[in-house]
Amino acid sequence: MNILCSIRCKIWACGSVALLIYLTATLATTWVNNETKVSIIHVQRIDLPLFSQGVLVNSLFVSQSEQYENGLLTGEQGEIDHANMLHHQIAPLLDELVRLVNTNHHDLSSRILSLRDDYNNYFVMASQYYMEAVQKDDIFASRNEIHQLGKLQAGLSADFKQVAGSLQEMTNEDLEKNNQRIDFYTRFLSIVFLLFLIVAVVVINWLANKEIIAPLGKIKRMIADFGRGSAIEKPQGSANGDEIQELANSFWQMTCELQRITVSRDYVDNIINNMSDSLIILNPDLTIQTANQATLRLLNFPREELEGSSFRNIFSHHEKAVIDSLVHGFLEGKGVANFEAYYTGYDEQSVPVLFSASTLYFPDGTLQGISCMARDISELKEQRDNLEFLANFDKLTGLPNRNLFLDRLAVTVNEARRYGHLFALFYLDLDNFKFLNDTYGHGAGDLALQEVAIRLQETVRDSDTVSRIGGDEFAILLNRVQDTGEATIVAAKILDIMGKPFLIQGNQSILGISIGICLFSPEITSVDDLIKNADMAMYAAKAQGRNRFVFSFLDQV
Amino acid sequence: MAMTVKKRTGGLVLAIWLFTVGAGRAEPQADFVLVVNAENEVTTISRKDVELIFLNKQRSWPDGKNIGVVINENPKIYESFSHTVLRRSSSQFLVFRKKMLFRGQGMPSPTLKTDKDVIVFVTEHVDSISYVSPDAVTPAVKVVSILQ
Repeated sequence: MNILCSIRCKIWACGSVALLIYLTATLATTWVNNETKVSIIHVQRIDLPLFSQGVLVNSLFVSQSEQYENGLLTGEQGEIDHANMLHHQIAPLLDELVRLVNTNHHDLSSRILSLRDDYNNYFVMASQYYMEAVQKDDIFASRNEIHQLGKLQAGLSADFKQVAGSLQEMTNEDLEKNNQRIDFYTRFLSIVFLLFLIVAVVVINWLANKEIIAPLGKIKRMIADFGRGSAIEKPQGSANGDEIQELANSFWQMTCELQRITVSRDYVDNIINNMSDSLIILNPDLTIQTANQATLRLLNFPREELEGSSFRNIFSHHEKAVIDSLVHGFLEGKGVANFEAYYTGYDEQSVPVLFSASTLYFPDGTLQGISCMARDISELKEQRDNLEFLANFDKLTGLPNRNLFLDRLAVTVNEARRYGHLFALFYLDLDNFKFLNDTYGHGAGDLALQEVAIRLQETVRDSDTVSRIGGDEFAILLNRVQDTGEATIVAAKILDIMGKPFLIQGNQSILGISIGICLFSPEITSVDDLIKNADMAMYAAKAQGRNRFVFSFLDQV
Repeated sequence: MAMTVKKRTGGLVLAIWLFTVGAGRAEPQADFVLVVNAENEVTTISRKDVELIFLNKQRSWPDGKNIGVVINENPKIYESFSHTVLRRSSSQFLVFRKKMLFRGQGMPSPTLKTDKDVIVFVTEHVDSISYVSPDAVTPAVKVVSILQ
């Protein structure tokens, strides 16, 4: 069973280590204090009483000796009595000294025992002989005994002093031992505390690192890897781990769930960068925040120059007014959809695009940016232009076709009616085109038609319209002619230039042309009448021998 | 004749300059005379040496033998001897003797009451020395002159 199954247990484990070491240190301190106390008590109960009683018994013996001496010198019996009385203090003190001196001081103990016995013997004799000498008033009567007692007293005096000195020395030695013991304990405790501190720091640090910091570090790395989008391995450890293990497992499960239910940024980036359309994200200040690869390809811009630059820079100069209105709309939260515009590339080349934009907002409602989509419509526009060309122009000659010609004719008629202008309508038909076509083939016929178109355009002004109506029929709209003379001059020039040979497939051919001319007059009520008149004039020219021009009846009128 | 005397204190040897003819000045007539055993070779002794001997500070004769001091308690000469030789009163000398006895210092000196007892004791003890009245001197003892 793992006792470190939770963070609480791990913290308690660290605390328990610290507490255990603290208790051990406290026990060591208690033991040291107890030892010190024992030694101090020994000094207090043994050494100091021995020392003081040794000094006291010595001084009492000195007093006793002095009183004996005074008694003998003065003959005062009271002095002897007082001296004898001191025996009742000295004897118990000696007994107490014998009791206090323990067996560790065997020599001193035996000396005190001997001193007590010697003193008791001395006192028995002294109390007797000194009293007798005083009572007889002749100290010299028992001089040998008293002399012997004097020797005993001198020896005892020396012994008392020696014992008192020894006791003092013993006390000093014990005090010195105490000092040394306390010094030793102080060093011992210092070393023990230091060792315990080191052990506590190492163990707690190791435990905290192994059980808490390292697992948290793994989770931190997992989060960092996840933030970078890297793959995360399933955390090691049993399912019954502690809270950190549970946190790691939960985080891993969360990342798995997130990977399952969300689209990764790489995935989104991949989609955006592989879009065929341009996507530009603008900052609220209308600078370009980012753009996809399609934008870079479309505009041929380096990314570092594009990002951070102004949104206006990518539009053509003539679109500035439009862009200003767009910007104004952006700032008011308005988007735009499928707006045709022109981007300007890095090489100043315009690119037609179908532009759409929408605003992005933060959850609090503030503007986050603007998303701009643009689709390159260059090909579409070209196709559209081609269709428009095909609808209004002759594909072979490039001249306006019948539709466009009729449209311009209608406009010209309206202007002529409104402003009183005159204009002339030429209806032209090639004379020998069928022969050429049959002889040299349709390809040669097409080449001839193209050459005819070129020659006709050379004979008129730019403001005039030359049109291929169909087959080998052409029409010319001469704007603002004064009279038939100007039309005649143009018709003559046409006959002249068409009279020159055509080089068709290495063969020179002569193609005549018949021209019907109708000058506009207010009497002509419709375009169809105008065309009809010109057509009839053209057939009249054919009937009159071809390669000539004929004015219509109305003109002649 | 010269002779050394061993001191008890410090083991010093005190030289006692024995009397030679013309070497010292004879003591004037006194109430006592210093006597030693007739076999003792000493004939003169200085007052200071006598003081040291009786105060138990000089304890051997020049030949190394212990000096046996005998106290003559004849009041007449005891007082004179204390005053003249020891330069102390008789009571002071008595206290000194008691203290010496009480403290067990030296050997306890025999204390005799009469000159006769002293003469007999000195006669019987070769190394003894004492003082007696001049008229109590007998041939059994030898009078020693005290040099000042």
